[in-house]
Amino acid sequence: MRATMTETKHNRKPAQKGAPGVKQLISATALAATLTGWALLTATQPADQAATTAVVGSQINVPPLVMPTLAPVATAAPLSLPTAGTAAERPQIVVQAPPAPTAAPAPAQPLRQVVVPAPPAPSFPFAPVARTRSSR
Amino acid sequence: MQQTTFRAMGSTIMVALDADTPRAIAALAAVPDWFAGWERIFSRFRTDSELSRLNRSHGRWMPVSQLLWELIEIAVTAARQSHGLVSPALLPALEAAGYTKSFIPDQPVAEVHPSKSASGPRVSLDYRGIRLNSHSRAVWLPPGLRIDLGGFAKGWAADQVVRRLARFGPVLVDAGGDIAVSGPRADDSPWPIAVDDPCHRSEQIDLIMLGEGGVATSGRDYRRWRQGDVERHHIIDPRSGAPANTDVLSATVIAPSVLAAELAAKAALILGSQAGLDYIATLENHTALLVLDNGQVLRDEAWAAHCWVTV
Repeated sequence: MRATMTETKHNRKPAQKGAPGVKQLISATALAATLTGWALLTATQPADQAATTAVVGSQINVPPLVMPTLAPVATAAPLSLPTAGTAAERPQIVVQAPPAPTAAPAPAQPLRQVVVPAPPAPSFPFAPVARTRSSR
Repeated sequence: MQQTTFRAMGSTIMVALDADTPRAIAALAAVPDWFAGWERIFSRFRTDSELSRLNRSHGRWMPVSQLLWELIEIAVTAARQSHGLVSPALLPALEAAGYTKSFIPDQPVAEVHPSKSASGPRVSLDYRGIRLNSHSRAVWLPPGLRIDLGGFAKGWAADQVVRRLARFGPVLVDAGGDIAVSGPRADDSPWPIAVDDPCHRSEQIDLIMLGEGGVATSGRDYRRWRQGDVERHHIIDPRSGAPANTDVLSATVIAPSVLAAELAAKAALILGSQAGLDYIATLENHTALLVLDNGQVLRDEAWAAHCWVTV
């Protein structure tokens, strides 16, 4: 089961085409705990049964939300280079490659509250045809 | 490339058709009328829509049109497959949270007061109460259960437009940020699509190259308002009956269809980052990017294969 995450909030700069980002390994224990927690959630308080009857008014009365205990996120493994096969799968659009980054991206950090300054906007070789965003 | 942009279903709709024959142009011009017809069926904000009539029918079997039947079937199936996370039976919860009117672009977060009634019918948020009779194509809703199809209709509509226009040429449909493509462009290149940054509206996080399927984003960064002292948004967690309270600010999913992407993105937002990515991993040919409320960006393993630039 894959649940790999890469965390790159502060590294918004042009990168080489094909850079895959940091691969993060979720330990088997953490993954099992997550799945067990999700199974517990659906067994003891599934959305199907949590959506119970309530009186219309200022508030809907529902059973307390049962949250699973999630295992802590494992520390990311170092960045690995893309394989030759990855490049062959890339779309064939010819543009000038941006300059290579001078340092490898930092490994992903565990989730935590941070104050986030606005990063420099990334530059792309051409304008998109459309933009995906939350419904508006 | 021909393109049309208009407002429908409370969103901005853009359709790009990579063809310039007179028939293609005529078909493109008809798209706003298609959406208008679908809104007359699916909109909960119209008291005369077929859906609103169904929502007033509780306790009686009501025959429905083929299109309403199709979308309700899709919604019920999605609810079953997601263990109820993505559900059509949340209209009372949406209204209780204050989402009682269609959203207007750039409207400031407004004061909304929950409806107050000393007593009223008991409501149900359990989609399993919906009964479907395929022989008579009729729907039965128990008293207290009402349907909202807002989480399904845009993706469904985008897929419909792609299906109808694809015979004229390559087509992309952007229904309020939920995007479907028929295939590569006429020059065989994928469509470049920006993933907007929910933390900084004028900026983008990634540029993805989409040659098939769809991409959708579910977020609590835009459709939000204030209810008393509490800020609310439109993604209801069926387990609590309230707007989802997780660490995910927005979830973007690439999937074999935009409807599948829309459903998976919503489920991932409701579940939270860790459980959400685990859930996406169980879905074939789905990949996700999550933006957390602390600004962190998480991508799953397969996401990079769709990117032009990964930062």
